[in-house]
Amino acid sequence: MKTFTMENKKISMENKKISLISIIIMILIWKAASLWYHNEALLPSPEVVVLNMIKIFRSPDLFKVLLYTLFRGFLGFVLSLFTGMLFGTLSGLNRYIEKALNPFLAVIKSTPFMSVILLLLIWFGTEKTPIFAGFLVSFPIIYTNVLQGTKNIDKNLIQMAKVYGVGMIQIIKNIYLPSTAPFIFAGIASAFSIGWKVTVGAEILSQPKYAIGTKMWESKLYIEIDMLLAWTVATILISYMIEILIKNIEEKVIRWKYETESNHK
Amino acid sequence: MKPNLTINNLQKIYNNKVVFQGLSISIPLNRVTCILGPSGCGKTTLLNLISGIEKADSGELDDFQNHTFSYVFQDSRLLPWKSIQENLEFVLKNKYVSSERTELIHKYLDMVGLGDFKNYYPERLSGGMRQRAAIARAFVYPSDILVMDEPFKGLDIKIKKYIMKKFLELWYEDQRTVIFVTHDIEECLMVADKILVLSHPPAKINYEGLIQIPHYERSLQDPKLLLIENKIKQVFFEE
Repeated sequence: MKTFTMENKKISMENKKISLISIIIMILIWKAASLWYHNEALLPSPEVVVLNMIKIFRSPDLFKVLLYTLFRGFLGFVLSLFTGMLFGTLSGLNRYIEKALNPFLAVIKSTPFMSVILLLLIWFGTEKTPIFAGFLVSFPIIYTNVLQGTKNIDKNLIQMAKVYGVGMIQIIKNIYLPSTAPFIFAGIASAFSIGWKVTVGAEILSQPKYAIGTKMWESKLYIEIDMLLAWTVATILISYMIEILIKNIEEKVIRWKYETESNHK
Repeated sequence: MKPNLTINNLQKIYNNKVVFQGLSISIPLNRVTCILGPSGCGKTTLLNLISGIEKADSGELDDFQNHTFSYVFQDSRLLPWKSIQENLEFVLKNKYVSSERTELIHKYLDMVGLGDFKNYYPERLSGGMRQRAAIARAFVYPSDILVMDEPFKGLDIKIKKYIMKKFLELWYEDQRTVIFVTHDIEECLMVADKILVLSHPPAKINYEGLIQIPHYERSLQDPKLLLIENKIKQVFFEE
């Protein structure tokens, strides 16, 4: 078991090195582009953006801005997680429910996103729009993944458990949940990343009092491109940190999958 | 208590195919009964009806209703996200207290030679080791009847012999009722106390015989076993 953990650590270190190199290349391209464009007002260099980020960190309402946007993002995400898991499981177990939900999913997936935000703005006002927008974009992803996971459950394992007299609660806990966990986590990672972007996007349009999106809109309004980029980088960093957190939780929850996968490498 | 468990007048139709039509058999208690038969004759269906996985269309299976079962399937059916020890714990949760459970699990895993592998996930073990874990799970579970559906299928001859030896060692511990399905005659001659040979569907019993020789004294060259083997082959050939 120890050798596999060591191997996992080695692979993870290699991955981190590759990520670091690509981030450095990205920043170098940005720097080269800003030198070539030679106009700090329209395309500021990375160091100017970093200085502006420090300015953002010093601004008195930073804490409130971050907290409110994070709260909206999480609320939309948690709502989509619960409803997606509930309806995904029901659809996976019953094909009639799946068929009945298909038209709803098709409408949610194919409606132009801007028109959804505008409608939400009219119906729910500025504060709730980003939450519902995040929810609407994350829900189909969680739903589809949970549905696939539920369909993927090995019926033979359930049959085995029933022969051995294992109760339904234990079967749900020990067979249903672990079977669907890899699918749920795959859904959570992409649903959060898209949901977060859309929440901030919806904030730009709805402009609640405290929001990253509102700050971006104000930067655009005063043509402060350096500030706009600084808020954008902050949004990316928050999303990245949460993705790392999700990945860490996933590795702990479905440890067996990572260990058996490293066995095949 | 009756010395035998009986099935009377069993009927089962699958997708318009009559699998059983009035089949009656008797299974001796605390003995190993081997059911032989050609592929597709309904051997697995019979085990599923006996263990309650499937329901018969009609017939009497009353003798089996109040019994508990453990089942060794053709595939090991271990939970891939649990270690071998956890897999055994999973079926024993409500049967023993924690310390007793761990002790029993270690005992049975040691008996099938998997003591050093108890923390391994099934994926990391070979097919033969997984099947041994499934056999340990079946024996550690306190069932009245052990059902085995071609448990040695697909294993190479050396591993098969080793697992059959381990199976007999475990069986002698509590001598529970075993119903063992196979289409391998040699396997059957080495472990069975009673042999039933089924025909093509709708299945009827083509041969029924008892082997009185103790398991550890058996050799495939034994004239008595050769005689039974010839009879079984004859029945298969006539089919």
